[in-house]
Amino acid sequence: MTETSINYAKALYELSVPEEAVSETEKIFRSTPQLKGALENPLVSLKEKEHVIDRVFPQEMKNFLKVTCKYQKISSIYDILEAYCNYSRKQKGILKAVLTYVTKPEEAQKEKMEDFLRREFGAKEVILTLREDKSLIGGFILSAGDKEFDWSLRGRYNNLRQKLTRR
Amino acid sequence: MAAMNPDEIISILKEEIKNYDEISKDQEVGTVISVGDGIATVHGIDHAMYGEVVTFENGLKGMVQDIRANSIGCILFGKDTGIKEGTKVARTQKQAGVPVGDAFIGRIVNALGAPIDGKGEIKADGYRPVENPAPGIIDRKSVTVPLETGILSIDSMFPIGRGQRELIIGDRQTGKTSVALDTILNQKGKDVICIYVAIGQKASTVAKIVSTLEKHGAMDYTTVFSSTASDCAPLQYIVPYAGTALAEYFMYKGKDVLMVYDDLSKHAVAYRALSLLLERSPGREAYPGDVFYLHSRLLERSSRLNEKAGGGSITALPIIETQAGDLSAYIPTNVISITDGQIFLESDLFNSGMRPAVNVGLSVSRVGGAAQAKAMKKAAGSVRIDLAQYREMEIFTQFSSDLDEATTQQLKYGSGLMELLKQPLSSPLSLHEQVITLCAATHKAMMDVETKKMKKYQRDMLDYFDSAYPEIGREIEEKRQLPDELAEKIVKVAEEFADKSR
Repeated sequence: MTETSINYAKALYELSVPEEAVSETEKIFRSTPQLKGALENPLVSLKEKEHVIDRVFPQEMKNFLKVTCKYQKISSIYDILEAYCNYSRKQKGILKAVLTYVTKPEEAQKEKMEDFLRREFGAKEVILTLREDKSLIGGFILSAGDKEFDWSLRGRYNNLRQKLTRR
Repeated sequence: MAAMNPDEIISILKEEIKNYDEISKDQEVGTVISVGDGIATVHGIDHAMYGEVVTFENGLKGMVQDIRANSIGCILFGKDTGIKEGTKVARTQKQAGVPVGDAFIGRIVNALGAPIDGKGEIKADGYRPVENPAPGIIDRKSVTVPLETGILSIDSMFPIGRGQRELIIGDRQTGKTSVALDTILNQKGKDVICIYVAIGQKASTVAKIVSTLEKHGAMDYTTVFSSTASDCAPLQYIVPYAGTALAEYFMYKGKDVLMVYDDLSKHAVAYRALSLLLERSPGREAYPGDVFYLHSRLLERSSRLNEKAGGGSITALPIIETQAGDLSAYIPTNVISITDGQIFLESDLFNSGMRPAVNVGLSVSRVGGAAQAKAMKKAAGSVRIDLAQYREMEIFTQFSSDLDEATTQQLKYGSGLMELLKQPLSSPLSLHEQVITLCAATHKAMMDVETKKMKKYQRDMLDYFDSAYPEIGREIEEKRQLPDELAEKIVKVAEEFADKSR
């Protein structure tokens, strides 16, 4: 993710475009890959591009996309949209976390974990993605951002092995 | 290590596992994006510091060397097998360092301070960062105590003091390592700890050096740091700093340390490889912009501390290999300007049998003069000028047929001096032997000796001094001065010996 796409994403966030419009835009781009090709093609004139944008995209996104086209940054539109998601999550205090487990946690356990994450990271809301991985042998790994809480048997086994073979 | 029976080993293992109850803490973890040639690019671990140690999933250690906007470049301290895209990397929050301790003396260790001589674990008394700032101005003291190399040509004309940095520079096969090794051998019983750092050498060469040291009993006060040519560039890059960390441990305890970096041109090459792989822009000779800093920060750590700061010293003998005698290449000029003098060894001299092949005109010692013993200073006073005059006149030897008497005498005297400066390997001369030799020679008491027989004559004369007049040698060693009466006495005894041996 380049600095430029992050800056565009911030600008987009500050325009207070409704989130539905942004996700709609992404959906349009993903469903017709030719669209991105056409918009980043320097041989197509800006006027034609604007015309296309007017006809295809939601009202709130039109201006943003036109400016992006004008400065030839459409090629990094996916980056911009991703950065937008990250930035808006951060602004709203939403934390994305991944729980890798062997046995599926009960609802109460899950709640406790979310509680813990809220406390640890000072987040308002936690989106916990569950992922099953039998190779952990037992326990779980909870990772959010750059931090990782490794309570799996595999991790402990690895640590023990390194401790025993360390010179 | 003594052999253990399997039961014992199993019980130790069981105990270890039983006591293993490490509750895993939260870790800052990133993932490897790409890896190759001893460099790994890592995404995540946004808060990693420059120079911090990171551990990979398989236990391999690395060091943060490059922090970019969205990724981090790490150098790997070992083989990169087993590291692939997606491998997890954890921060340790620690600067790279090596274990240090008195038990390291007499051992051979790798760049990270782990023993490689098969003599078991080394008990460490502490842990010192590899990159440590050099002592400041207030902590330092000027160089006043000599560090004797035992090599006549160096001790007389380019004396080295404790805390000095003297570069040994020359082409391949000119005896650079030998000069450094002879210096280590001469430190026996002088309360100097020696550290030999081999950077990018052949393993066979290191083995040979170690056996030489062992043969002369020099391993009792020497540590060898070795990073051979087969080690990866990061290890070769780190090894001189690791050696210096151990040296600093001794220096701050008030000990005198002699460091030999063999050699810094290979160190610069290893760093160049690293830097190019880290995508830093290449400069002159493809070295990165900070090669000067690479060596200056290393050699700046050699110093002499005042009593308040600990009172020890680190004397550095860096070695640089030149290509075809080119002193004006990038790395040689850099290191020449950093050090307090250089000993220039020349292949022409070496091949003509002048060993050590010290080029008297180009070698210099900028601070050692203050450290030289008074006796030596007086005895060697005129040697440099005499040799310079001899070299100027040497061309005339070709027209030897019609030279006047004075010139013939001067040439004979000069060639005699040159002969005296030759010295075989591993045969250091003590201070009084050097002073007596020079005193006798400069007072022309050895003029009648044939050039070919000069070395044997010198040995016989020194033996005669030691057996017949041991008090002369003792006085020089104790008082380290050469009053006129003593000089006269030496000349008289030398003449007496000349008469006898005729």
